Amino acid sequence: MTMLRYFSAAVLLAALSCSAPSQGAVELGDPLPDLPLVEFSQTEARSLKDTFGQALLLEFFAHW
Amino acid sequence: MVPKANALHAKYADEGLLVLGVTREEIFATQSWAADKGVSYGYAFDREGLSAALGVRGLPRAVLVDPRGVVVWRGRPADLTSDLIQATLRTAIDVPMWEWPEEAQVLREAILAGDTSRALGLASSLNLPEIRGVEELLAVQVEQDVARLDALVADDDVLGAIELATELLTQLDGLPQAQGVGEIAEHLATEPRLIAIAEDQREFRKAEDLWPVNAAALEDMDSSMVEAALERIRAIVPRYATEPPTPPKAPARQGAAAVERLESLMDLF
Repeated sequence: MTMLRYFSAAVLLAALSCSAPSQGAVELGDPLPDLPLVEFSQTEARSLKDTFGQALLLEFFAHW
Repeated sequence: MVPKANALHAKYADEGLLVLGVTREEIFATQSWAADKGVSYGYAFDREGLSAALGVRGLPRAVLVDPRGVVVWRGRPADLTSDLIQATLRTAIDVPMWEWPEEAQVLREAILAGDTSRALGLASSLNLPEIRGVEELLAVQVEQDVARLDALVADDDVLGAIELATELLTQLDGLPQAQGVGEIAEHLATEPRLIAIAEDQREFRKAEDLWPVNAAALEDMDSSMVEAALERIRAIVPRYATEPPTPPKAPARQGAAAVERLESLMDLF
């Protein structure tokens, strides 16, 4: 695979990973998926299971 | 985003709202950034695809989960209203589990272990103000899980139903609901039509697993393998076709998604 083709494939894969249909997309009314978060900071929660009984507001962010 | 999340954390933490930042970035850079921005709420790192599973596209985005663990809202943080937060907090436990008194730690352990049957027994016998509402919440969760199993069966999502039933049989052992779940599990495992659907769903999942993790993995892939999988799935999909207005059930939706995904993959070769 040439460098250009390799780069194109990487870009396409990234784009398709976001847009291609997946069988596991969560809808409103579905339970929160059992996928762990790690390295909890500034909270005593150590896993999402620790949030039992709480309302949970997940704020997805990036700092760039 | 940070000022609003800080304000929500300050206003509602004592009423049972946990604001949690989630990022896929590196720990060190995130810690510096959070300190610079004055982030007062907790945050954690997503390394196993929670963002993608929740359909988070573009940032910033927020997801609100109610005390039963159900996703009730998803959108831009600026669009989240106080009314919705307050409605969601109505059934919340005010005191987070890590602040429960020593006497309630055994209950916390049962909940974390997924032993709902034991947790229900403990919640009804412990008379502590910090765990007020826990028994009702656990009972609601049991009903909700059984209803979810019924919905999966009605949608012909056999694999999903088998997985949930297996989980529930452990969680509900000793509760009256366990018997009904056991009957459903047996039906799923013995009914020929359902066994055939499960086989087809496994093919769809194999297709999902073919998706390469990066360009290097794509380079190592054999396109004939993808082509063969696509052919197999194209042969399966018509079995689940429905005529409008009958909506497609889970196998039809999953099959169509698998075909589209494999076709996208073929375009990359």
